[in-house]
Amino acid sequence: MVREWTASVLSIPAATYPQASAQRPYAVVNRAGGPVDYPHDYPRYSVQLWCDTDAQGETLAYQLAKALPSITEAHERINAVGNAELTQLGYLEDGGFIWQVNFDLATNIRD
Amino acid sequence: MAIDATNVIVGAPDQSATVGAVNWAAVGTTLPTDARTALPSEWTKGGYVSSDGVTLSIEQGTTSIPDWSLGTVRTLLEDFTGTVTFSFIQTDADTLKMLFGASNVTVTAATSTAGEIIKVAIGPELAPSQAFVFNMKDGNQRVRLALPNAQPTIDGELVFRANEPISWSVSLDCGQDANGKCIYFLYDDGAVSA
Repeated sequence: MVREWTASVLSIPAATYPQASAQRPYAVVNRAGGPVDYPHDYPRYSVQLWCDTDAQGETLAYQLAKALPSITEAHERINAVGNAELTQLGYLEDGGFIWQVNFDLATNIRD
Repeated sequence: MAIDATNVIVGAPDQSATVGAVNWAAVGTTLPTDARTALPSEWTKGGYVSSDGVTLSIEQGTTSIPDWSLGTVRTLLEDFTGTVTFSFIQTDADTLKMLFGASNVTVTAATSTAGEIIKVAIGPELAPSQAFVFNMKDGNQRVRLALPNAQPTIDGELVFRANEPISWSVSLDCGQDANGKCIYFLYDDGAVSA
């Protein structure tokens, strides 16, 4: 659901791994950690923004951070969301840039 | 009852990106009878609450009556207090009116030279009591605290720091309603019947 929410908020493709055919900008969404204490799950998410320019990456990262409070409305299972952490991860060999947004969720995964 | 992890619930705020989880209205406003139905428009919606969440403290002061052998033969209730505490980290006119009374808060519309100005006149007086509802969720489960008649007061210090939000610490002393009750706890387990 984080992948879908990211794609919706930024209006760019989002997947759980870099798509070979994808045109930048696109997002790669991964779970980067967080404990599970059933029925609660506290995942830490990493959203990498693969962009053509540094400025584009920065703009998308701030756009995602600003929209983050609304993720609690994306699915009933999401109870709460923490603050966004923004990092510029560097540049790619072909001149692209990657920005990363990390955040924690508190969710209920009751069957 | 057998242990059941799915009945371990948390108290996350049931709020959207635009509507907060703390609500208040005039004393006498009809309280919700379930934990899920949206509140009608007469309820004012509050803003962001700090990550410390909301705390309900219930104290039942008792006195023991011993008999001749000094064993307790009866315990009597001496006093009861219910208090809800939390901190608003959002500063807005509605919140300040609730905390200090509407007559002490003046809002001047923005002009070409200044933004909207909120002026609060603070003195030795209490704001009117209000009814409060706290909306909480855990997945598809819902929890509500409803206070029919609560006296808001500022609790503690107002700290101004460069790296912290201005935090309005609120204490609500829970008074009784016509039925002699001070606090209502509503829980919807989210398991609907067919």
